Amino acid sequence: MRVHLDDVQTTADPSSGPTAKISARGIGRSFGTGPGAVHALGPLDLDIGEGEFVSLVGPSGCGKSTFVRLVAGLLPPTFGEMTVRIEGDPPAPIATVFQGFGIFPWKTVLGNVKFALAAAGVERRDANERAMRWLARLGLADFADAYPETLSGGMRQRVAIARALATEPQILLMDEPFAAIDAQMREMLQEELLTISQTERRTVVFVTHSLEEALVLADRVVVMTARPGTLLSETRVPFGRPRDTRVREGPEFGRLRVDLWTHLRDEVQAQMAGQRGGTAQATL
Amino acid sequence: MKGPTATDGRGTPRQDAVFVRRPLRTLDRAAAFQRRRRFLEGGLAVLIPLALFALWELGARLGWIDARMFPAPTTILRTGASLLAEGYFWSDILLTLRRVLIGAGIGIVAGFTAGALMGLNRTARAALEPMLSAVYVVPKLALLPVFITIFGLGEVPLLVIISVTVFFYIWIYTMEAFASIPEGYHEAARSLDLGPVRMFTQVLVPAALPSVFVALRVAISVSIIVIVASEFLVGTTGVGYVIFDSRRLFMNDQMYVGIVTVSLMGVVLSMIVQRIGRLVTPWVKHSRRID
Ligand SMILES: Nc1ncnc2c1ncn2[C@@H]1O[C@H](COP(=O)(O)OP(=O)(O)O)[C@@H](O)[C@H]1O
Ligand SMILES: [Mg+2]
Repeated sequence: MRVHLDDVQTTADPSSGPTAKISARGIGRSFGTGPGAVHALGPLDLDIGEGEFVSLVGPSGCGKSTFVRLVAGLLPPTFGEMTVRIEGDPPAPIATVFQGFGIFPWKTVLGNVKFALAAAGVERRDANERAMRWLARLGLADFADAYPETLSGGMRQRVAIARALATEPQILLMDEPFAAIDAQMREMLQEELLTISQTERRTVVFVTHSLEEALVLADRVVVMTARPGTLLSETRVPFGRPRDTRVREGPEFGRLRVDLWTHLRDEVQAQMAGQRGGTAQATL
Repeated sequence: MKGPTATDGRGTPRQDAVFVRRPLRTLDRAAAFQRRRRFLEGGLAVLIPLALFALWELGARLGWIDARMFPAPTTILRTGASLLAEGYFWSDILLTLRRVLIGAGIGIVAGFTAGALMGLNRTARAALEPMLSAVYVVPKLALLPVFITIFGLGEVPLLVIISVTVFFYIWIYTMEAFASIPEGYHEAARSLDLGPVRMFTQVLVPAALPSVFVALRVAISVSIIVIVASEFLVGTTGVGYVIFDSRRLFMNDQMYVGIVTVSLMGVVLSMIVQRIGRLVTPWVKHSRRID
């Protein structure tokens, strides 16, 4: 994203870690002004290294999607600063997988992937070959000419992943990509994502509300507080690479999960209390 | 359900119920039922109008109704055939068609442009919507005298009134469609770093197109109504003129030929719009279409 690159060059801060691909310093965002303003996120400090897979967990409404948008350059921060380092000047350095509406229903499966490639300036002939390769890799080769509406939710989300990966981004942002998918399909997709992300290491920010998913996939799990989301805890995941989804069967996995949940529970409660307060006020 | 030892509260053992679910005796009975129903419905859809026509024919021939006022369907068909053979009627049909097509063409282009602009740009919307909404509720036929005053008699006021009619339908639906494109599509498009041209032609227009076609079908039907009325009011040509002129001359069979002709024109044009719609929005599921 060129616009974004320009932002980076003008705001680059040499003091932040030299290896960090993404480096947030006191970053934050609020929406609206005056008494109705919502302080959604931050201030948040976070460094994400080159090739690192970071999972972001936190109670709903704590600003995870907002953080993803800030990294993607879809939204400017209201305070603080974020540095995103891109090597060279690739046409599509950052790709995002959204939870919904990410793929276009008026384009076929193949059309969606080719569209992203065309936007990134890939030649038509190359684009076709590359799109087919990624569709095949995600088990969608037979559905290349189908319209997304005719596919299941799980398959649609694979299209979104294929589209994001086909542009070979340096940074992959995934915002609760498996949230609306049934449990079995979800596990399949986790498996696929593990394989893909371990074959070609790239920097991944993966938002999820599942602690288990975060632990299975990530190098590091970042837990955020209730809104406004700030850093609550960071856990380095001890499982080596390459790994597969069977890591969840070990005893250490359960321990880590409990630890994380202990951190998170108070925040979820705080968030629920906030909601209750909100509704009580509304009904008064 | 309680276990087999349940009692009814007075100590007497309760009767247990056992439900057995089995497939229908013949596996394809449901399919056969569906087929029969489709056949029946299709048949009724044809038979009922046919029966009404037969009744009309019979009534006119046996003198139950005044055949001079309500000529038999076969008489209307014969008159139609001879009118078409004479050739004058063809030029009326073509003139009406031309007015509808040119007028609608202008209205579609203008309505789509205004709708897209106002749907995507808040300032344009704020500036123009109140005025257009006020004009929207004016029955367009009521403006015909104004158009005649401005443009004189002839083709122009007829084209203008069709354009204006179509414009308002297309404009309001297009504006609504563009304004209600979910934020998610905008965001996905921006994350792909599309330029403004790709953004418009490959994302915004396809997102709005299904609604625009709904408007188009309504607009075409309404243009037929408006053109018939306008031709009667000011025209010396066109199918609308033929209908009312025949009535004036007590040529009722000819009047009915005109009525049937405009009805067919409406049906055919609306079908063409529907076909084009299916062609350019192939992703819209048929069950969800409004047609
Ligand atoms: N465009 C926006 N306008 C106003 N408020 C917003 C907007 N986007 C997010 N918010 C608010 O900011 C908070 C954080 O939202 P979000 O980042 O989507 O949370 P999460 O993804 O963690 O569930 C929420 O309270 C949400 O209502
Ligand atoms: Mg979210």
